[in-house]
Amino acid sequence: MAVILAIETSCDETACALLDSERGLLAEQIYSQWRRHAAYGGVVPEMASRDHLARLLPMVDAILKEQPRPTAIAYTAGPGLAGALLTGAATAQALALAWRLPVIAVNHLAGHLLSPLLLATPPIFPYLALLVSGGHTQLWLVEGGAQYRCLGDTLDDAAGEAFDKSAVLLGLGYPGGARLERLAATGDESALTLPSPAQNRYDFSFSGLKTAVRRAVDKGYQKADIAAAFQRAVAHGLARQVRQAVADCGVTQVAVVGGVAQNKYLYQVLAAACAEQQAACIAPHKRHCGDNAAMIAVAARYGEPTAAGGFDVYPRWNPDTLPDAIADGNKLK
Amino acid sequence: MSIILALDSSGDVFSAALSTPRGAATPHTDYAYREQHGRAQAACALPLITDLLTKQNYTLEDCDAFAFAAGPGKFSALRLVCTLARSFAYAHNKPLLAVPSFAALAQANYGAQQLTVKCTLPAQQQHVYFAVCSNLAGTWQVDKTALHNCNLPLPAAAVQHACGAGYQSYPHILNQATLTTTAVYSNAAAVWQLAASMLANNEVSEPLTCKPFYLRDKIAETVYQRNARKHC
Repeated sequence: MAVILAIETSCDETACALLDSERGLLAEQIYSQWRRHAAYGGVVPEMASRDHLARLLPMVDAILKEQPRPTAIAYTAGPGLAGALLTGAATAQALALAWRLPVIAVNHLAGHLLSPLLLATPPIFPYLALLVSGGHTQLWLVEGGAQYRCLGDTLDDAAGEAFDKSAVLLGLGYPGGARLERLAATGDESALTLPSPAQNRYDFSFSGLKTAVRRAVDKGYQKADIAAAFQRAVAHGLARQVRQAVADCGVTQVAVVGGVAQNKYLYQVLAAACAEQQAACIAPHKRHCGDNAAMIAVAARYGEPTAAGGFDVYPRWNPDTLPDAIADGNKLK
Repeated sequence: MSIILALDSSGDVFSAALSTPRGAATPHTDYAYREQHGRAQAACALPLITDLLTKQNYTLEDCDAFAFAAGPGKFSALRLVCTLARSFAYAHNKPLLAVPSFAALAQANYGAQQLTVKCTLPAQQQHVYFAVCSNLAGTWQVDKTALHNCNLPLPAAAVQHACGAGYQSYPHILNQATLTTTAVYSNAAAVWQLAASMLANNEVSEPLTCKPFYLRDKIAETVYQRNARKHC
């Protein structure tokens, strides 16, 4: 039996979780800094790092109250903001050294890909995962713990980034993804046609869509109609690539993961596209769509690599590759 | 005297100092010191600490307190030693000692000499971190701490002694004071020396709430401030 204390500090969420390999999730906390960054129009890395440092250890203390002592500590080693990652990595490694526990360096994206395993009825490997967040838009074939194959990626912006930037163009402020979704519900999606983000066989591109939103604003279309047309273009573009991948890979389950997976319209369109091909569409619980530590614990549980003695972080780490330092650490096992 | 592990991460050096084992009737009055140069401080920190402990035949549990240079200084470097020291202190329920970096800098240069010193550390953007440190009864008091614009004359011009890396970048602010260059940054040995008296005086910090002394608090412009600047 393993009890994993997991730490996530890759961007502007400070999160901590305790996972028992047999009893499941014992405790978790997530603190989002977005209100602190809103006035700056985006995440300020130094502010994020300072806030992680202030909140992380008290959060660890709260999580461990009246819980079994952890037998391993997992942390997000990348990708993400270097300074933010370092705060979590240093805390995890220092606690592990003090308590003589093994340390597991987890890829943040791998955490998202495996986050559906936190569901009461988890998917069975292999499954297709559409990762849609503020930093990533990718299609992955998840064949097992630590076995991921990237099928498609965005060529420019991420879907969540496109939502936020379009929200700013529509005067909804930052971060405006959720506000855009609410506005879109009052608009007419057929009032104008915006370009699809689907590119090549499985890839995506959102920069043209963002430009089209700017032009629509300049032409004086109703903001609610623009929001609805934007959301439609994104959802149907993503659905097109998912349909293609389901047909090619022969999978029967599609997981929509990442912060944008909370968008109800997107989920409905994807669910309908999956149903056309007799595939089930699933999404993690709402609190596990955005950045969280429970998914880091699950990824650690399902075989992410053990960290080496230092705590280098990997701001650009892809989950289908292993940084040299971690690979070297694994050789010692 | 107690067993203290002290950490410092100033300039491009990560250093650690640890009380050496005492004899049958002698207290911990000396320390072992290790330092690592280069920018990969995060990668070297834990191996260096582990090596230092092992060579002195100690474990983290044996330490009576953990100390660190609390700033001001480079933000990420401050967070590194702060995170390590407070995590160790929290994990073993031991006292945490946040030693002001200016006090450690003065200690590294002047030891127990009864002096008043102008200390500066680089703060980028044509600024230095500045403080006046005075040695009173064997411990350094830090006063007049400020983020100073190097295009302006330094305050406390009457002070005759000066130290710190800020003067390397901006020698004109020295203003006829005598510069000591024994150490341009603080180090873990100086932190260790000051931590012992802080522990004796119960000047301890709470591990869950302790944070670095950044001094520079304005680190970004809001959208409103950016727009206002563009329109000016």
